[in-house]
Amino acid sequence: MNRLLQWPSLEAPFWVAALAVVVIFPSDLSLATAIAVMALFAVSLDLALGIAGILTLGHALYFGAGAYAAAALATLGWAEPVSGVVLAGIAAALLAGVAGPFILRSRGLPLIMVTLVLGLFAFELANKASDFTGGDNGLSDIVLAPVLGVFHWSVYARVEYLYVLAFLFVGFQGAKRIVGSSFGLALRGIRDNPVRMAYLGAPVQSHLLRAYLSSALLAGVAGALSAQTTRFVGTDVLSINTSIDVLVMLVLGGTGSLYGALVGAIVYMLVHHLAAEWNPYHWMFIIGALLVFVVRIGEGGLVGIARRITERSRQTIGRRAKGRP
Amino acid sequence: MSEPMSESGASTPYALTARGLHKRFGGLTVADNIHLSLPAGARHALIGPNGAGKTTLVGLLTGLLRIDSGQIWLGSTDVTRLSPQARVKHGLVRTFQVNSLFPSLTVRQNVELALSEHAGTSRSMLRSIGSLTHLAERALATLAQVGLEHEAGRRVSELAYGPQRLLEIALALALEPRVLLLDEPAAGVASADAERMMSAIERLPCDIAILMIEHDMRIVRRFAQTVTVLVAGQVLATDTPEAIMTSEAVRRVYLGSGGQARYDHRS
Amino acid sequence: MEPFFAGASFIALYGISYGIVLFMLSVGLVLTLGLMRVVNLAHAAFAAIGGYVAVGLMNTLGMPFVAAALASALLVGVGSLLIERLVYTSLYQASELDQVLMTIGLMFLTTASLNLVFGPDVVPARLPAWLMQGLDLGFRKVQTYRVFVIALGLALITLLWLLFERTQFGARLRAAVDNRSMAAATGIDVRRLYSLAFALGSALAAFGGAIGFAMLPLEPLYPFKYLTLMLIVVSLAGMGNLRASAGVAVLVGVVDTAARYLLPVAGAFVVYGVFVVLTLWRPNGLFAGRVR
Repeated sequence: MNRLLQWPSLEAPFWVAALAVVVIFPSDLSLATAIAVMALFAVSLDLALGIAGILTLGHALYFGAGAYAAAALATLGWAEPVSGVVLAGIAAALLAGVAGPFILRSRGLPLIMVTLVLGLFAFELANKASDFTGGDNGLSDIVLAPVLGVFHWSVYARVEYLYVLAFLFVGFQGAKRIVGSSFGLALRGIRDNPVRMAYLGAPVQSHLLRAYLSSALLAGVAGALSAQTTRFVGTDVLSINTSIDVLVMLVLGGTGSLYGALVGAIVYMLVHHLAAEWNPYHWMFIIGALLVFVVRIGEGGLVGIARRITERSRQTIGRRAKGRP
Repeated sequence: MSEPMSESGASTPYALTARGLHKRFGGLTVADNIHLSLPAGARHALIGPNGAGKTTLVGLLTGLLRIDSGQIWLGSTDVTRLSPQARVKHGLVRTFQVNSLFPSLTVRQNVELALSEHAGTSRSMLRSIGSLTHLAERALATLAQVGLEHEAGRRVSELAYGPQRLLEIALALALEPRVLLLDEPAAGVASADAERMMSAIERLPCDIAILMIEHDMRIVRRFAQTVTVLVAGQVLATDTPEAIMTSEAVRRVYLGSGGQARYDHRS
Repeated sequence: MEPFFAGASFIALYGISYGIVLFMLSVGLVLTLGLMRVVNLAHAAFAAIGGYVAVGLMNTLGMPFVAAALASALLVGVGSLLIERLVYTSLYQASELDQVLMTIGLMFLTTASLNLVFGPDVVPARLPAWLMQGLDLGFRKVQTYRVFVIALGLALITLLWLLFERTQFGARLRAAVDNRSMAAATGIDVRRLYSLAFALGSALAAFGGAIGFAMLPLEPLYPFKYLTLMLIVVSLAGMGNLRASAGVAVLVGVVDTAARYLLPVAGAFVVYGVFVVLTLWRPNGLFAGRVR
């Protein structure tokens, strides 16, 4: 059975609950918006890391590229937001199209180092190019037209949240589509055993590049949504912290299932929010402990734990049913 | 460069032709002027002592290693300069001596991977694999060829060693090879599973040319029409199994002094 | 000509001494990566702890600088054995992702702990007076510290060379880096070798962190700040390539210093640009590909 498809029964209630947030927590919609943005970013990382096995520590590059592209479009007078997001996603994918062929030549540790160094380079570049990025002050003069010409952006972030949620829904369904296709199966094959894939005649590099581009596209969209909904882009969108944050979210939820990206982003962002008053150094205890915890519990993160619990209870129920005459 | 023709001069070329293959690693010659030709449907065994260069030869034929000189044809196509992937597309498929599978996927998904690469559907990103119903059917049919259809839903990591060896062959079969290189298919298989393996090999489609590397003379005798003996990177002899086994030269060079007992026991 | 010469000698002196410290920090990582294939991103944490311990010994017990650095290297080396047993043993068989996650986690825990105990600021510490003095090299006056670090580095490189090329331990280590399973088959206790190499690498990083505290200031974020430079050294040297690592570390130090000196505005940006191109060009090290 396709492990990915064991959870659809919970998916519909999830989206309903996500919509219900508007009614239940009307005053926390800024937070909910930020969570939805990071969830989409985590989904994009899962496509590259969890599904295709591209071990990257520099995915903030595409999140940041999307954010700056969206901001640049707005400052240039392109105020229509939806097309702005799409264009920003394409810009990020184009960047991946340039960097990807080089990055994907390596695997494992060299890949980690290359993506890390490239990420740092982009961060330094953004700090130096302060004419374009605003340097330490960031860009905050992002002016947008109403969504679809009808829905006005509001202080309560209700439009923002629904806007991001719509993109998250579409992006998630797209990612699920990719994973469920035979291309997606090929990606999981490459993750398991790239050598044998080559001996099955698979164009391994081209498969990986297309996965990387799709992932960058979604990451760019997430970055653009972040820029549009907060009306602000700072250089920290490109920082290593951003790359590590999204990695922690993904592995906390569980890699390779796409659902883990949603769960992880929600849990991580909520915990982070509750600890917002803390000294940032103390927050590092939490991240460090989370990472150690995730590795110790083994495969699958929180989604993996949930799966194991349901499987075990199903077995117990089955055994009881058999035990009765 | 002339096309390789079968000896009778007929217009049907060999399924696989290797001419004058040379390979050196530093000062060591691991392939020395090797000639090999397999007609369609060949059942050819490659034997030789450890270090004779059998695995190297497979590497050269599949394109993992680059030859220093010589030529390789698949049918009438010169594949000498082609990548391993391109050779697969021309019908040259191999299995691995050490299982090389996709452990986190199911048995059926393993075969589906091979099928969809072969059919070219692996490039379609948005069509659900479930909608490719013929893929699932063909996967089950391929598994049935090696007797694994009842394991289709199990994860490979949960599969015993013997069935994993069979899956190696099923993966190769899914690619509809014209030439199949079996690298010690029975290596490490318990005797209980060996019969299952042998009968699976005997059931392989008869139009595939098969080159099998094998140590076990019982298997070689049962399988092969032709045997090539490789010693120190050179072809010592190519002949029928019976002729090879009675050849004094083969006995002397291949078996050495201590090999007598093992040879007798195995044959 | 005169300003050019002054600039060049400044870059050489500061760049090489900086590179020497980078070498001390990263050589252990080159070694353990080559030997155990463990992606130990927390390696820089050992350097940070080494620096903190040494400064602590100096400030509270009044230990001399070099003695404190040596004592700290010893302490961290021994302590790392314990951590290796507790944490890293289970990582040898783990996936690269798990290795990355676990060691990033350790890095976070180290940084958070350093902040908790010593506070968020740079640790106040001073070099001994004799190292602060100027040293007249004939053509210019320089800080004795820089010359001292270079001399120390050359001595250390010689010692390591002797260890790796001339001792039984070194021969085993090189054999295991080349081919682990073969080494194990010939009766080398690879497990013990791992532990010793790990401890040696951690001790060297601690020593580097202690000796280099005047160049790389000690602060809780130390493990994150210098990880990148270390990874650049490791990836350009190539995993397990000990001979290349000294040269590459000095090269990185000189390029970094030169860029900051000659292009004060674009500095770090140019440096990362150069290294991005180099790592993309040769992801397995500048000297990779010759052996295979």
